Amino acid sequence: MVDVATMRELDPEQFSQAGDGYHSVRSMADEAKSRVGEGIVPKMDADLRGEAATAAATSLRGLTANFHYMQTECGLAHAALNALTAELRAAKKKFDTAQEEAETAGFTVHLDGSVTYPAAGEKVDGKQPDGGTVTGNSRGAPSGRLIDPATDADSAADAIRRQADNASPNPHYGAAVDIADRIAEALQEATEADEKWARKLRGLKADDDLHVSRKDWLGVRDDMRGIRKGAGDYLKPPEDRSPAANARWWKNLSEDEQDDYISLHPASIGAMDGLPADARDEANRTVMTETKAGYELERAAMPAEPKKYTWINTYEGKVKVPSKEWIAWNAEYGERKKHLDSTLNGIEAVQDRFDRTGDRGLPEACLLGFAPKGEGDGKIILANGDPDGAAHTAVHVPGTGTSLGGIDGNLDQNDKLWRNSARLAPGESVSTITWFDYDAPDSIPQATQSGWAEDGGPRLQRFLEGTEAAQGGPHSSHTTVSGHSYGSTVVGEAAKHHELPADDVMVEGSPGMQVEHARDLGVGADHVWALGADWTWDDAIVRHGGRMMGLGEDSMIPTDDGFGANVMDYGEYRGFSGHGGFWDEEGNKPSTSLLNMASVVVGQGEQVELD
Amino acid sequence: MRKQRRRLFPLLGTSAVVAGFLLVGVVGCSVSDSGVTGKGKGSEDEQSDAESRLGYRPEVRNPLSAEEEVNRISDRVRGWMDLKSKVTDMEAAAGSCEAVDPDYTKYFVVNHPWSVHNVEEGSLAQAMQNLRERLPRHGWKITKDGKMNSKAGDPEIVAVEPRTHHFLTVQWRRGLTGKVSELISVDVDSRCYRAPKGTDFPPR
Repeated sequence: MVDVATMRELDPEQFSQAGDGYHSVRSMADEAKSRVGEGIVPKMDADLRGEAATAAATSLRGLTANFHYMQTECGLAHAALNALTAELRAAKKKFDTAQEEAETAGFTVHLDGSVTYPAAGEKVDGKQPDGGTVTGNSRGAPSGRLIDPATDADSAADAIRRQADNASPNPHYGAAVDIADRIAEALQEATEADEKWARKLRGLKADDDLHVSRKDWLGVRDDMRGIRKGAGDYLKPPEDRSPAANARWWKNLSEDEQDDYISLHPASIGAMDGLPADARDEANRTVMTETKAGYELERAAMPAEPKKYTWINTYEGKVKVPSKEWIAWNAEYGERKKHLDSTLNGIEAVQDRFDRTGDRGLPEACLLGFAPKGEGDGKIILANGDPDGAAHTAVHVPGTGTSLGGIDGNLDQNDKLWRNSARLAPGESVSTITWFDYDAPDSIPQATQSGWAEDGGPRLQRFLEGTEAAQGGPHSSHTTVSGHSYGSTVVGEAAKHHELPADDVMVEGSPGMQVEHARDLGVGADHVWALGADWTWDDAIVRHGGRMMGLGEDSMIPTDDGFGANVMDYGEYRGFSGHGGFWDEEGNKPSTSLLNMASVVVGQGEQVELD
Repeated sequence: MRKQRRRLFPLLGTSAVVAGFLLVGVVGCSVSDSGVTGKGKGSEDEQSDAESRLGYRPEVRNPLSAEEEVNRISDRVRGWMDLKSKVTDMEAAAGSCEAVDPDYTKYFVVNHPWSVHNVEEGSLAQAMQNLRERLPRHGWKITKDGKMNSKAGDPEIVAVEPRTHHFLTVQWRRGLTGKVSELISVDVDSRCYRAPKGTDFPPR
């Protein structure tokens, strides 16, 4: 129990200063992580070969992971100490105010928290009413139960005391009780804060080995939950506000508060449109690392998949059927296993992209969104380069059949688009973003069944508004919104309201954009670009199939002359399937279609080769 | 000059396309073709297979020396352009020969994309002119010297070195609205090669 003497000496700012110490360590770890992971390792990968080099790079990647762990845990310690400081500050203020009032009134506050008041008031029977000593009563926090001892008993006590107040002939009595109560409350609050945070801070102590295991990362998640719960109102991210409002909210926070939000609420901060890319990136990397640890442990704990098929004898001889063991296993674990596998594949793809930084000029990547479930198939938003400072930004929506498990192909395409765009815009920064935050239909026939695009469109709109807000307004960056296959339908859904924060709209293998003319997309028909892979069977099926299924208004698709878009040249024939081939390279030489997309991204529409 | 819009399967009725369309459950994936480097295939079979796909027999080359050769060609081209200007600092690099070995296990091409910018007014025009004159003098055959099929119709030169089969694509992009108002982009590319047995592959 915190007593009066401790409370008098208490300086809450000491805890805040201790927090600052953790903050410095956190920043140091962040910087070291970047220097090793994004500076040294890519350079080693590029320049050194051989077993020793590979082993060294692996060890350094491990070191990067250690720094990340250090950064996250120190961030939590900082947030916890700040929350403790905030609570102690409130208690201390309450105590100081009560004590000052006591002094002014000529009362004495004793070490046990009781308050003595002097004799005062009108004489009764020729004698002035005696002074006295009262002990305060701290109100417990309401429990919310039907009969709540904290509130019900306290109000009963209040009532009795009020009666006594009226009955006491000494006018000081009431004030003394009030002061004693507040002192008791302050002591109680300080004690609670002390007990709560001592436990949580002890929990943050890491084990003393050098290996940061999956269990350690699960520990981070538990620490985070515990501290978040304890912090209560100290940090509460706003919900459901516009991206512009989010951007303003973030700007008005102190750097300390921003860091605490990232440490305590990484999932909310990572997903919040309008926030700076570096903040979202840091938050999402933590969410991703935690998810990976949890999923790997869960997968390892699952019983192994039994042999799927067995042979049974029938009249017609032996027949292969699924085994009983497998059916039972599949019912229990099948779906979950698929989800774990797919998510872990997606995480690996993102990690691989991080490791590719520096490879033929590839810039650092920003993880702007990550969720294992998202809208159904998972969510990944990954930027090549920092969009907040980019002169040219491209946001690309992948198409049918996209899932977390297969995101590596999309990330690879995005690398190619970045390299070719950057080369055409020397001296200017380019950021190309893969935006996968909608439930993609698995096929075009499925796409026509319900409102996939209706769900994805507004989400895309919000993300684009957020990017624009974080960049500093509509004129900060030249922005291209791109959609492949059904992704173009999502783009159309967002664009048809004429509020898309974009300068150019570009589609590849589009089955229709829900509008009948390029001018209906709100960026001007001159700034709409369409690619089709002519003479390839799969692209024809998607585009003309979409036409028949009515994904475009009035059976119009963007590669039609009547649609009014600039139809770009697909270029050289590269085989009979081409729907996935718009990003083709021969070695590192871009195909005509890829170079054309890059020209659009860097605002060189005049240089695009037309069909 | 606008080409006649091509229509795929112009003779097929709607029903045929719909049927095909419904058959393809998952789109967005291309038909996978793992190339010529299948398991258990003899080296000779593989080479002939590659030859029939490419129209030439891929020469066996060490990837590092093939990269060096392309870097040297780039240096020479830069010299012929005769520019004192900023050049993007990327090096030539090997990459996959898509038609034969998309998984990048043995076959490779070498590419060197670079560009020049930030030069004195008029010097890019001179550089294009220099290439036009000097490429043939050094044994290169110019196969295109005309306009890009874009709205701006910027100049483009395409050339091939008949002995080494390297090819060169040069585009002069003008009237840009970004930080640089013009640039020349250059691609120096090789044909497909096959890495010798026992080489560290892929090279990076």
